[in-house]
Amino acid sequence: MKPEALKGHLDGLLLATVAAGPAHGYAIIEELGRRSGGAFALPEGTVYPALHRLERAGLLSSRWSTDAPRRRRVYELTARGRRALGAEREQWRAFAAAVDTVLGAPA
Amino acid sequence: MSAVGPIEAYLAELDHALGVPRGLRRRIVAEARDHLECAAAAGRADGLEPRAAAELAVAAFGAAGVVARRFAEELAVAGARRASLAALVAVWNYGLLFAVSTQVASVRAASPFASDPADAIAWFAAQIAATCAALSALRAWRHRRDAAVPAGKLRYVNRGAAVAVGAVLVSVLADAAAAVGSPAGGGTTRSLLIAGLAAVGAAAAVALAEVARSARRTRALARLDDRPAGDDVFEDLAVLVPPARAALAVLRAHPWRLCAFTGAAAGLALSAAHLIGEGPPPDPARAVAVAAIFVAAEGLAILACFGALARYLGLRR
Repeated sequence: MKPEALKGHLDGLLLATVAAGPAHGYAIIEELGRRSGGAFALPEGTVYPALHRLERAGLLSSRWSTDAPRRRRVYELTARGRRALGAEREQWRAFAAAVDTVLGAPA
Repeated sequence: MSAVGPIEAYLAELDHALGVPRGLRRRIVAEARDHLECAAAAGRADGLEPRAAAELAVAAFGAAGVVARRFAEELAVAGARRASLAALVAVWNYGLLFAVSTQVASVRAASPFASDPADAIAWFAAQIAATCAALSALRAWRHRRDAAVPAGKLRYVNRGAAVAVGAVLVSVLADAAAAVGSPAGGGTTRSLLIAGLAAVGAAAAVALAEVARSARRTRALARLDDRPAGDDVFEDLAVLVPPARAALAVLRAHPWRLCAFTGAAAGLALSAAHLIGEGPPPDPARAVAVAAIFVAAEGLAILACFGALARYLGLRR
């Protein structure tokens, strides 16, 4: 799938991935790839600006972890992020249902 | 890649490409290092040679220039939004003080800013500040959901905010000079107005610092990707009011006529407000003369501002 197809959905996908529990950037990207079956082929480094943006918006929080052999930033969903994820899911269901009604119907 | 190893060479390249504040740059590089080391370790676990695993990790992370540009975009967009909001707050505070000190008769009587030139400057500054802050906010609002906005468009957001805050500061300085030069007296009202002026000035100074920071971030983005705005205020308005798209397309072809019409309309509105506020004049000829003076002054001022600022603020292509 082309990276452009992700436009507008990356934030929701990241929130859904982090919702499983606190994780560092590499783990988030790996989990996103695993859940999507590797469908989203985007440069991994471009996910970090999105994580930073979500943090600035108060949807994620982050802290340095001392458990790893290196400095590692761990991201976690905030209460506001959880609400935003719920809203994102609702919107997606409505959108997907509408698209499916048109595209999925036999000609 | 160099002899220092693919990951170290990449991190050095990324560090150099990032046009962000030093603290944030250190964080980004540390996160990239952790990511690349994890990815390289996974490659080695899959049986790759260490160097091949590191090269694969670097390739999957994306070109340093692309990653740096994404960060620059995020920061520039967030900065422009904050600058626009700060300008709006500064203009709102100023508007409140302006409205109270000019429109409430008892307050105006005790106001140290009520006489010219401070009064005349305030009347023009209020209009410039409100218009430019609104334009800046309109552009910021239009791109509120966009993670990446061309540097050319962000420049217009910053410029609108800068002119709005600049107008407020000029008026605050004129008022401050009037207050210093005016005779003492006026009691509590005068003291409250001067305290309000200080608060408005402080808010404007904060907004100016925010605009300056946003301008630096936009310049950093422009060094990596300087796409022009590609549209003007009519396009912004068309997004705000889609049914007016066709009418706006016509107006775009005649920006000076629109400007002259706006100036005349504003002049008439001001003269009407003046006549209502001051009461009816002794004869109709005087009313016409007052209206003509307002329309001429307002129209000329708007035409002059449009001539000087239209391209700078992206009001026309």
